[in-house]
Amino acid sequence: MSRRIALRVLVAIAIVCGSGTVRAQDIQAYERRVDTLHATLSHARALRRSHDSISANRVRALDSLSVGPVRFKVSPWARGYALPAARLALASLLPQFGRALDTLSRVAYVVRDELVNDVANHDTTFVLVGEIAADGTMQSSQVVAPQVDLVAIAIRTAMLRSLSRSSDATLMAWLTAVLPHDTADQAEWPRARVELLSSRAAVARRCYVGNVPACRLAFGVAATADPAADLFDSADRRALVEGSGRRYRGRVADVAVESCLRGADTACLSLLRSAVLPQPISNVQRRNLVQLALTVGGANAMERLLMTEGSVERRLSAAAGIPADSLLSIWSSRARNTMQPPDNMSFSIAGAALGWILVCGSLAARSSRWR
Amino acid sequence: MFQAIAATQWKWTRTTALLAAVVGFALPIASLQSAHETATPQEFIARMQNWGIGYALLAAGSGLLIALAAWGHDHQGRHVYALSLPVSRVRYVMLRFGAGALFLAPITIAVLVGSLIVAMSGAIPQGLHAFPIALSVRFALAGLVSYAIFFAIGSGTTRTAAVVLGSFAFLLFVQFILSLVNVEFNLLSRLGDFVFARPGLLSVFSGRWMLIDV
Repeated sequence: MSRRIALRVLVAIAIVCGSGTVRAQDIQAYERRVDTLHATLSHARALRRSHDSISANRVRALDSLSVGPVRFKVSPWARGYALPAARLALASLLPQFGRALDTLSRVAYVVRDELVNDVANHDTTFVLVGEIAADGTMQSSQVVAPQVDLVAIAIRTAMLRSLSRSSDATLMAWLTAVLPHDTADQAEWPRARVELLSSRAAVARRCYVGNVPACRLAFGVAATADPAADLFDSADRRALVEGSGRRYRGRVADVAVESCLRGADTACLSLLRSAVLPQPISNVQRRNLVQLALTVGGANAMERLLMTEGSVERRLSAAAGIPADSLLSIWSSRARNTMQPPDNMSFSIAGAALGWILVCGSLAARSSRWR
Repeated sequence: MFQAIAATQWKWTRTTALLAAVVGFALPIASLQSAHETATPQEFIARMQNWGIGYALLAAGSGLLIALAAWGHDHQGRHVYALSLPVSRVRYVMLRFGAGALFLAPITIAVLVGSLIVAMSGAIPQGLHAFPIALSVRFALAGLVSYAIFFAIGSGTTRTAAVVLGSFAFLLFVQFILSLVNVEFNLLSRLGDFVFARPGLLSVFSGRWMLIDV
């Protein structure tokens, strides 16, 4: 008996001492790891400072060039691409953006040669297009092949990014994407239709049938103080709680979850009011709505969108030249009615297949009767 | 003459053709059954798309088996029957080809009937559309392409078959040599693009096969 007690005491001591040693080792290892990470971070910062300084010096050494209101810093090699590409980029934006492009006079862009070690391990000279920040460093650059049309697209993208950054914060928070410069592709409408019908929010599904107030809520054009109540119906709310049930467990009383799942809508509402809710429709459709405003509004639609003061609704209405409700109604109608030709069959598929059938049939006909 | 050849060829082919027709009829209905329980149109389309490969495989398999059956008895009889007939080789081959192609019709009709039942079932979610005729036409063309390829291979001599197989082996060998000497050129990938991209030999099989789409 006494031997068993002594053994238990020894085991207990061993466990206590062992865990203490392990903990001490862990702390030392953590300290060493933190020191290593700190050293790595300091090294990375130094490299970054050095890179920024070199970039700023390189920018200062470049030639200046102005196209319309936009200023460029270009390397002698890239000048041949920069000038026609900048003109192309501005010409593509001018019909829609008009006077809004004047804000670009506050920024400058760099267009210079960039040596890239490509896949086949060859050094190739590409064109780098970037925006020069206020401190002289470069931000959001893009490297493209030395072709005027590609450089023009890169410059246009950089300009749209600058325009987005300088635009109204409320509008950009609503759009959550770079400003569009063209109208929507036809293939977007069937996608919008499926998205509306697949949405977890009742307002999106109501928007599909042409309910404009529901569209306003789905797009976030009309504000709501209680999204859980206004955007979703009771079945949606129950489905949301059911789908996120595991996330709620442990954070809120299980009783509330169970009660919601049993059909008590007030319990669902109280759970969802403290939760992050899914958007009725994706941000892609907001961009699509702006693109529709461009289509409907015609020339200078983006200028009106950006330069009209007021809410998103007012801006959309100004861009399209019609009330925002009418714009939403057109959007809903297009999403509902635009058909996409099926992928299954086309004249090219049929032509290719029939051609090969003839070829194979002819080869068979040429086969020899003798074996 | 065509009637006699078609009648004898039907005896060799009917089991394959009828089984394939049953599968062709069941495919659209099974795909609808599997997609029916989805919650949203997006999931519905995704589930239907998963079954798309089934149509391509059925078309390819039916074409292969019917083409093999068309030449099977000639191969077994060492092509003496063809020699005994008072018709030219070209006419004989065309008669065989036509008869075999005819037996793809029941399978295509089965796919069309199954697809039409799905289209008219009322089980398609709002906002989506059925394309039964486009799918059936594509199925017919894919079946015919597969049939024509294997019919052409089957019509040849053993030497022809050896040349075809040897060509594949040669391509594999060339690719192996290229990789050995560190040449970054993917011959097989290029060949795949050439065959499957339009207007390649097998381009009718590539892409989405959608009975129901947006």
